[in-house]
Amino acid sequence: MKEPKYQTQPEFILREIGNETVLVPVGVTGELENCMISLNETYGFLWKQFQEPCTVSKAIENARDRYEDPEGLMERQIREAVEEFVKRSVLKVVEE
Amino acid sequence: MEKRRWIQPLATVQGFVANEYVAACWAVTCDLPAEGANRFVKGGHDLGAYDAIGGEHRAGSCGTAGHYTILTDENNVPYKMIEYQNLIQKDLDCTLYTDGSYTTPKDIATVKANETIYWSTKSRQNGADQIFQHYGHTSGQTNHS
Repeated sequence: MKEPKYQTQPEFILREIGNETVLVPVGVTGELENCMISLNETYGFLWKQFQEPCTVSKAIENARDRYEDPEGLMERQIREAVEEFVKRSVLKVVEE
Repeated sequence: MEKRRWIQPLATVQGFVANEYVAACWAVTCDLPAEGANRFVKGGHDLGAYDAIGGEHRAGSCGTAGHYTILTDENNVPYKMIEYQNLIQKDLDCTLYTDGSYTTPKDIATVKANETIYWSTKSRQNGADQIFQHYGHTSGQTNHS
């Protein structure tokens, strides 16, 4: 079964402010209206993986190239982060 | 390129409401993963330390900078402590204590900037509820959100 690809919603604009990475929702309604989402380094890294359509497996593979994972939590945390973003309509499914 | 160490992805949602007081907050990190004596190692990597009652404290979780935040009111008096998990700011199920014996509760309003604090949290570990006994210091740097 083909793995779905995800991509960031165009309504969320990524900005680097100093050493901080933030997402600014533009024209968004609902619970994220009038909000700013501050991302730590790994969440910012994940966001950039999905700026173009990307599978979760590919994002995990790219993360393994960049980060050490001695605690073995990376894959689970990436999958949970993607699931959370999709649930809140910050990421969308673009291909199945 | 040397690899960096993976830390748990954290996102903070900060809402803005016109004419509302801009809350200040202090970042708090649990120091036990770095300083605790009862280490646990996996695959040759030092992952953190156990507390006195067997809770695991990992550098990638409670030991991550800013994993906890203490919110303060307009008088810079603390009133709530929050643990960040994914996109959700969860009210921390915790109790603050006066010292490392974790026996005497401490009113969060008495916490000061740049102070070492002791607190416990509860969550699931290996399928069972586990109490975690943390200690760390408040940042003292006021961040506004």
